Amino acid sequence: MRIPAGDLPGARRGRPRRTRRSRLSGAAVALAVAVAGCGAPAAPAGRLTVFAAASLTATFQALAGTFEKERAGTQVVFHFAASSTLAQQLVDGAPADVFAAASPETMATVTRAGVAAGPQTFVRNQLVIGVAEGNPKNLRSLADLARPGVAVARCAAQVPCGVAADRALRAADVTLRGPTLELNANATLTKLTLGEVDAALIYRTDALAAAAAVDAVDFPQSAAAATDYPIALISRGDRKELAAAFVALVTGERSAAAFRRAGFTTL
Amino acid sequence: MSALEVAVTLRRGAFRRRLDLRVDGGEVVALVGPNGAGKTTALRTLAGLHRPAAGTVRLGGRTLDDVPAGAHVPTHRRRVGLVFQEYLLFGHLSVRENVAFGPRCAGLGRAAARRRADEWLDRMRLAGYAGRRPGHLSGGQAQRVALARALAAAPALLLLDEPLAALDAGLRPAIRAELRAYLRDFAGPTVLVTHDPGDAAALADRVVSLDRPDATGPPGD
Amino acid sequence: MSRLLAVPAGLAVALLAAPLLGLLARAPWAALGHWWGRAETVEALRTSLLTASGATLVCVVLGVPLAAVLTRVRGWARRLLRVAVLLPLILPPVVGGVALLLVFGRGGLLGAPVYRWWGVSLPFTPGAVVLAQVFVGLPFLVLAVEGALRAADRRVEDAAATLGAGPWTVFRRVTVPLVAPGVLAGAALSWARAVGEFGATITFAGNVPGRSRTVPVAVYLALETDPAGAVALSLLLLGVCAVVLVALRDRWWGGLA
Repeated sequence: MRIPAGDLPGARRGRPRRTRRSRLSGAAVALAVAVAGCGAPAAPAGRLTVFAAASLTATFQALAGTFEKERAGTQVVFHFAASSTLAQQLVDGAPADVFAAASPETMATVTRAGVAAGPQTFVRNQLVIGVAEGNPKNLRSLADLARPGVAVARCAAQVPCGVAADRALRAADVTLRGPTLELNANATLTKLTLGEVDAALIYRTDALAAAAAVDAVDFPQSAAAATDYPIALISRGDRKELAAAFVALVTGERSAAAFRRAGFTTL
Repeated sequence: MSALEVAVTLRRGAFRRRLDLRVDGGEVVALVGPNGAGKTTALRTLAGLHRPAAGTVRLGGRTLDDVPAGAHVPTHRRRVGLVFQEYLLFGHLSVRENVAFGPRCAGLGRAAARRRADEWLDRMRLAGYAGRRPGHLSGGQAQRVALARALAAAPALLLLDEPLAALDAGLRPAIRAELRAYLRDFAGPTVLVTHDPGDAAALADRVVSLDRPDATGPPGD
Repeated sequence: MSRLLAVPAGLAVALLAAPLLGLLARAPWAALGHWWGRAETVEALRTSLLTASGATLVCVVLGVPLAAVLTRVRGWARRLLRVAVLLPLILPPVVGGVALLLVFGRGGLLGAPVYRWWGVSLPFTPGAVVLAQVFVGLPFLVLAVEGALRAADRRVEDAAATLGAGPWTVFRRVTVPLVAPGVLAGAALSWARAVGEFGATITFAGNVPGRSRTVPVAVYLALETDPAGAVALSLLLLGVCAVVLVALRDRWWGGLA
């Protein structure tokens, strides 16, 4: 059983988060300074602030571990939340160096405001039908979700996962019976893991993360419901070089396996 | 057969005192004594609001309290009218509804209870105030309403706690005479409590003095 | 002295009024009609008002006796009850919503057997909205009524008993009217709290248009795509609540004051 950790539904695991690793790397900075004369690698020391969609939490933290190891003295500070929340904060002037969004539309609100530039799509997330373990109601397709007596949760049309759900349902020409329109992907998943609904339209990455309690059913229209994840440099950030290096790591070949393990489709 | 027979040990916190009393139907007995003598405790015990520590209370052959036998009739089944020192009228009800409260509780319909109330208000020269709220009455009027309210419930025993204490000194002689007339009309036993020997002598057929049994009595009692 | 009070009091007013002024400053005046007239808006407002009123009724029916009990019990029982009453005030509403799911949800302690035997489940229904609102609103009513009970002269209850009124009659005909002003104030508070409820509602009752979508939920959703719409809906909620509370105040309290 899984309980939302945030205190607002919008903030999926969504507080500014400093990993233990990054706190430790503070000590690493001191150490690096102390041994600087002894031929330590000459990496640019500094703090990189990354705003990222909540669904990227696990993968990005793993990548940051690699990144910090390769550049002693570097510290990556994450702020994970719903991308629309992050976009709003960025437009309102929140300090950050990199923004990774869960939808092109969300990224567009930031680039249109001139806050970020040059977004690159790095992964794609797809919807699956999440069901209770063992699929007790034998739900195999979107059409099955419209059967009487099947309680369904999905994201509201105002948030990216809801846009994707609308697209998929339209492609399948299915109308659900009174689904609950949740405010974000995590709330949708929670309704399923708590057993309040029989099925939920959730991201493959979320289904994988909750694999202990949830089975994922693929459906053909999910290609129509794929969501691209763009990443971009924040224009006013003052660690451009470090930020570009992080973006290069995220979009690069050697991160692909980590993203795939988490359930993303790489390009 | 309507006599009140009291043989109890009163209890109020750590306070204890013995009270033995017999009051016949139609008789008015005044309990007088200083603060702390247990006067109010005595009345509240007779009304069933406190339980005695020991002994029995009988009224007209009915047992109201019998501590050895574990018997205690709750206040609302005792048919004991109590006129409080501060009257304690129901502020949210009209004077008529205040007086009709007892008859209503006895099972009378709304209209019948109102008629009963109006009779009592007439008798006590309060007919003109039936529609008023208690907050708009003078002290003397409020006292008469409290008495009418208690009598309208047809009590078998009437208790009055310092009935004149809340009144202006100037009004007291007139109201005292009036109260005496009403008490004379009441057929059951009456026990009143006062710290004023003058009031006791004027209102009661018999005066029983309660001295302070010891220094442990609760203050303000 | 009055000068000394004026400064913090003025600050307090500013603190309370500033967010409201912010809403008014950003209000899309020209588009208000468009937002207020939309079918979804009317539907959400209806759901909000009906559920909040139902929740207030439940709060009164359950909360007044609880307040009466609270004034009577002593010692550890009272401390325990007091904590139980205050808990919903301390708990973040979302956590309250999760707690409700764990008890009354389809997989919850009580909800699971009910679902198994009768096939009914509470979440996503108007009933779930009411339950969430009762959970967050009940403390306001209980505290207001308890305060009124403590302030009242309880000896009039003794007077009623001497007139032949049993405990239930005393409660109904004397205690309740005695604390009516406190009950009304508490009801108004819990109603207002219920109307504004968001966290527990969205968590426990979800967001099903026409059934569990209340105005605060609609506001939150609008904020995702159209902040102006969110402001318009917020103003609607504030306006309706102000009108209702002022109207009731005049009707209920006019005769008593």
